[in-house]
Amino acid sequence: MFILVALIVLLAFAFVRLRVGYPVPDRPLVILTRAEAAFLAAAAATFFPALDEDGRAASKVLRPGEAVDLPGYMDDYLGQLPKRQRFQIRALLMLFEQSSVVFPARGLGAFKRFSSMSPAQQRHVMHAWAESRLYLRRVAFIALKALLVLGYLGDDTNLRALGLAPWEIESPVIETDLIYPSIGARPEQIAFTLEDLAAPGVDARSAPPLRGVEERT
Amino acid sequence: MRAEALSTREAEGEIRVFAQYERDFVEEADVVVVGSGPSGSVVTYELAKAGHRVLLVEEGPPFTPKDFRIDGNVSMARTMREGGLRSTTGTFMPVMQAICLGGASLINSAMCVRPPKFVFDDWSTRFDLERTTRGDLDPHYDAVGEFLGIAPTPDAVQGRRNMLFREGCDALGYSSEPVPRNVQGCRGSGECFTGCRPRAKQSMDISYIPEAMKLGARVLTSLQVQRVLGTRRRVWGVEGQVVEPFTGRASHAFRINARLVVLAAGCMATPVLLQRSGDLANESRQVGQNLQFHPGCAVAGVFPDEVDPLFGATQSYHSLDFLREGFKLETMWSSPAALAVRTPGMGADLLRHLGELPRTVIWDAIGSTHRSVGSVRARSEGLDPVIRWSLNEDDAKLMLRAVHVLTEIFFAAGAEKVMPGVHGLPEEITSTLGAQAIGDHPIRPRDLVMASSHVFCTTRMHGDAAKGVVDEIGRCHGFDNLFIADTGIFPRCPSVNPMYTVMALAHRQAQAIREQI
Ligand SMILES: Cc1cc2nc3c(=O)[nH]c(=O)nc-3n(C[C@H](O)[C@H](O)[C@H](O)COP(=O)(O)OP(=O)(O)OC[C@H]3O[C@@H](n4cnc5c(N)ncnc54)[C@H](O)[C@@H]3O)c2cc1C
Ligand code: SF4
Repeated sequence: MFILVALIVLLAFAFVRLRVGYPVPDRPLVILTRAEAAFLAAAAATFFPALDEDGRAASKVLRPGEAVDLPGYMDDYLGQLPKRQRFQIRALLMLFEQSSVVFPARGLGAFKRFSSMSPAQQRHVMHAWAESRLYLRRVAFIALKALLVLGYLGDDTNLRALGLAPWEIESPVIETDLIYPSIGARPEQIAFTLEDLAAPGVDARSAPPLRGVEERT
Repeated sequence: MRAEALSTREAEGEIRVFAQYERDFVEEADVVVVGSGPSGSVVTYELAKAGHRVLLVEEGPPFTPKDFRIDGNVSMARTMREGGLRSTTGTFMPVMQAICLGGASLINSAMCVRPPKFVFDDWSTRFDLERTTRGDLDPHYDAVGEFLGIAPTPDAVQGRRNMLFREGCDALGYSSEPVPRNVQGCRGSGECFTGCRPRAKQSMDISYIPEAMKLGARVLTSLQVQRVLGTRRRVWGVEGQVVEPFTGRASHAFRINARLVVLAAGCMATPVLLQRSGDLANESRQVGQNLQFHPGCAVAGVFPDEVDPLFGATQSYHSLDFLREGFKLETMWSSPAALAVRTPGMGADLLRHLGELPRTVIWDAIGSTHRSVGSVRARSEGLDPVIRWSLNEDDAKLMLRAVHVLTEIFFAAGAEKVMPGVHGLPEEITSTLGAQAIGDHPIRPRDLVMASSHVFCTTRMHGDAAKGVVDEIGRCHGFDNLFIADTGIFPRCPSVNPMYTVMALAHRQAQAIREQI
């Protein structure tokens, strides 16, 4: 009887900890749960804050993490991954969200979920992962940071602010474009013809290097 | 010499894509080649040229510019196995293998480098490979080089970030040179890793494969080979399933009957296929063993002025000065987001570093880590491998030494600070004096942050059938008609980028097969 009650209490605790109290995300998400989205939003604010620790703007050029739809980006990205990798990434997000059970933060509420901690606690938790003596904790941190940075700079506004937005490049039509349909299509759907291949001016192979700022602006 | 355009002649060859398979099917061919990377494509072309009925089978789809994605994350999810998230266990290291027509040539940086003579001398003496000297292979390199138009990268498309490497090497008296690449009319867009939109890179899908089709080769994409059919001495074909691009969902089954099978599925996939085929060609017990990499460590340097990093060929300057010591240095660029991943810090500190990206240059070192050997084996289901590999302590010292040299080159080129990216070292080093700390650092293998796309030796060549899987021409020991062509047959890591060598070996293999059939 005691074991049963303990089990029920444990399950109830796990349910509350994993599911209850998370806000509804700003946009509907296909893959991520509310908990995962909340973690990503909190992590974005920790890695890419609006203000530094002295209350000044953290960057004059880049947008803060809160202004970037990281949960939305990650939801789209996960949708492109094979199942096993999708599961691994989602497990990684939840590992960080719930890690205070094993590696508590400092101060009051040290055992809270990551997304409910104060900004100072969140910074402390992330630093502890980054500098850990445990190799696997450091590896997990590197993986998380990679995902967050890729998502953060996946936002074109940030790349444009840095002058690093991808160039517009018109691909010349080459002979394989007449036989390879784009992915998912059938050969009958190929729109190019021999005339496209021969059209003057489209062959960028003889075009000059993409040098210089003029070409980009 | 290439033939006239595909669409202007009656091509005997054909390509089939996922949408065209409507039922289970059986095909016949003289030769079936599994995998359309650099090795498989060269074999296919050369055998088609000799008049054989060749069927090239590839699991991935053909990519058109419309299918490329500039976002590095998304591009990797589409073009690479396991969504670009494959890694080793033991010492953690991301490793990249492609899944697309053309194999990794679609998303590699087109560096074509011949290993120096001492690499082959070492191969021939250690592995009883008497006919694999540099002199033996030079005619094969020449033939591939001429076909693809391999030539040193011209200054006009180097861009500042590649030229800075040259300046740094010059200042320190290290040799450096423009990288020879398989490109025609490179425009310096620096986006080789996500697919060349200017269509300059001569990846296999737009070079060898269409030429092979003009000669009658048939190319079936979206086919995953799951088994090689054969007995302990002879094979007669392959079988598997049609798989949808990206989801990998299976639709129909297929079998291909052939007189000869060439496995060119890549160093990770070929051993798994053999294991899944009743442990074929494994009397030596070497299938899946001896795994080696060229691990790569990237180092970032920040310069006082903007370096216009978007412009310049992706990887087009390198130094071969340290090959004997065990590492090669090269320039590098990728999508800014992918490069920013190795930016140090968090919070305001991280944002400051990201703000420096327009002044940041990345160079990398690849190591010949011969002492670090691992293995590949099939998972309980599917064809993805379990990859065990650990970096040896002496090899870790080698990699740290390479990071040290790169740091010195950065300062010699005028960098104001360098970020070595090694756990335990300062995140930023601001002077040559500070760089000395790297040399004294007591490195542990797990302190290094590495990645690798150069994989070798899992079906290695050896003159002695008891010690290797294939002989000098890539024929499986004990078989007449089963060949392996991919980088798994390298007996050791080649010290330089492997694509040119795997194509030269494939060229030689095709000649031998031609004589045999
Ligand atoms: C990002 C990146 C950058 C690189 N840059 C360079 C460079 O600049 N220079 C250089 O020399 N090297 C470079 N390399 C390495 C080089 O590209 C590879 O060594 C080379 O492509 C290996 O050729 P391969 O034919 O052995 O195998 P791969 O290129 O891996 O081709 C194997 C093919 O087999 C297919 N296949 C696998 N399993 C099956 C199956 N079961 N059924 C059907 N098909 C299957 C795969 O989808 C793939 O297309 C790079 C690699 C990567 C990933
Ligand atoms: S640098 Fe750009 S143009 Fe040149 S080969 Fe690479 S992707 Fe193509």
